[in-house]
Amino acid sequence: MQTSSEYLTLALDVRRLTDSLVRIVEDGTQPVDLNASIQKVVFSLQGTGKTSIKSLRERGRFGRYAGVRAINEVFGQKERQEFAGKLRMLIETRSADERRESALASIPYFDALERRALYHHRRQQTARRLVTSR
Amino acid sequence: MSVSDEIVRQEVSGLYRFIEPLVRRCAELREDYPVYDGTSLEFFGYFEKLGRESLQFLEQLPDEILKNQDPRLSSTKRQKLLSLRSAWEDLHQYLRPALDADALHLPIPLIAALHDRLHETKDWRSYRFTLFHTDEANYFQLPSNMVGDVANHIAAEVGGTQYPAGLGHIQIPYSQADGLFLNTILAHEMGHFIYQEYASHDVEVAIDTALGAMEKETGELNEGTAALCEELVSNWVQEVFCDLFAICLIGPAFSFAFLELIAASMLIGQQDGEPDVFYRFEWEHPADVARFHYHKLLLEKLGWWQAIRTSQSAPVQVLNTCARRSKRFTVEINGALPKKVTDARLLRCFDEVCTSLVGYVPSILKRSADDVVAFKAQSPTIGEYLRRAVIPSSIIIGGKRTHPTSVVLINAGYMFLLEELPTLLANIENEKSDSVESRSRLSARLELWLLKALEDHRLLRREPKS
Repeated sequence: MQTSSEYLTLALDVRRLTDSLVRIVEDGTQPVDLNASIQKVVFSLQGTGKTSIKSLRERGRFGRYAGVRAINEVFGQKERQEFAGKLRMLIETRSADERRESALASIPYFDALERRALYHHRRQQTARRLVTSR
Repeated sequence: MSVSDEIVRQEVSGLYRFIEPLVRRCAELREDYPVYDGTSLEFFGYFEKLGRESLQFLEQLPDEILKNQDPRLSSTKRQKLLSLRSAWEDLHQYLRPALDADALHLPIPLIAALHDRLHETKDWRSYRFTLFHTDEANYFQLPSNMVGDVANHIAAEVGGTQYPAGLGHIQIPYSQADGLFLNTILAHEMGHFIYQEYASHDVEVAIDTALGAMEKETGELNEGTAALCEELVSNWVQEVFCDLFAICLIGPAFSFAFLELIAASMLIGQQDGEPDVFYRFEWEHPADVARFHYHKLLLEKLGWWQAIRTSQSAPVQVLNTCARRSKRFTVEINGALPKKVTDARLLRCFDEVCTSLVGYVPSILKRSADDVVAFKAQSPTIGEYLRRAVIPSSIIIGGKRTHPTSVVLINAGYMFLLEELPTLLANIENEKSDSVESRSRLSARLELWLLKALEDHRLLRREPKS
């Protein structure tokens, strides 16, 4: 059983991204490192097939087992493409209106991922033990 | 469907009501009793501060949720409450165990000695640990991402204060406050913090190299399998890293304590693979026999093995048994590994990385004194003192007074416990060396003497040289 800390941290990472999107929608401001974080999510959504272990590291938290598992559980192939498309639009567009629309449209996807991570977190143990309980 | 003002205010009030008593518990701590050490007070102080900042944030949250016309925005802001609650629930579980672990209920001299030893390495001088109690008969390290990162996420959500850098957390069984030997396992738990804060990058490079070589043989894996392999090997390697770190920090005493905790003397006289529980790799932990294999390699490298190898004690026999690589390991992870990756191939990756750790871990710790040389020179004299029930804070060797270091005291004391307790019992009137009760009582007394010696050592080393 993997530690639930991975899932809680995943949920909180997703929440941090969602909060950034809310700021884009509400007042048009964007944290400087948001595009890099969004890019990691896009990599993860695109990586449905075979992959190297090294490339998983490039996805940050989303390339860890908990992230891969949660994304696979929440999104089917079609949804992954839709979500990735909206995120690409978000980081590529120069139009403030399009960025705002993409951010707003991406929020429900992030919410679904956050809920899934919280679900796993609540089901699992937390601390790293010296030995497996016998 | 829109949600009413009342429902939103109730939801937010529920979380407020959850956090408020936690803040109060910290705010109402008395100064006179119970007494806490500095790191615990730092933890409580931060907890209270973050709590107050969260309450302040929650005051204005209902208006923030209700101002939005777009249901996607109001919905996600309500969901934020779920994440915040989960994060606070996680912090919640640590407060009472931290409050229980006051200075009277912790082995403070050992904890101080471990901190001193850790701080001999310049890069780690800001690292410090709060200890919590646990109801389980086990030791835990709370990963950085379980306390600090969670607190930092809360802080980011509520516009609060970031977690104090360098503060780690360890849980210790509530019943073990008076002990010394078993509690040397705390050094392993410190190792997790060092791994997470300092060494993980280096070790991950070694893991990626080993798994990369495996991929060349298997071909690219699907992402679920790749992530699974990375997770398993990383979990196993981290445990071995921490074992080796503990041995570098306090010597073979850690191996002895670990062996005792898991009753590994059952391995003596058994054939390879028996009892099977010691040969099982599980999700978070490598097989115990594999761990002992690397313990022995490191003890040899550091010179400790040469100092203890002639002992007939159970721990030394077990370490000897585990010197050879077992062929009986199993991997049990709630479902088999995918066909492309065999247990044996994955275990080879684990072995490659762990073998490299035997060289890597000693290289990151500064050692100010040669503990092994001192142990060889001083442990016979320390044994003599203990046989006469004299606390060995200062010992005389060749007419010269010396203060054994904490590492020497702990290891000499542990060897005395393993080999010479019957002699001590025989020296005491009305004690029977074959009585379990007598042995247990004398072991506890021995641990108290050594804790006192550790306490004295901190004072004596500051004495001006005559």
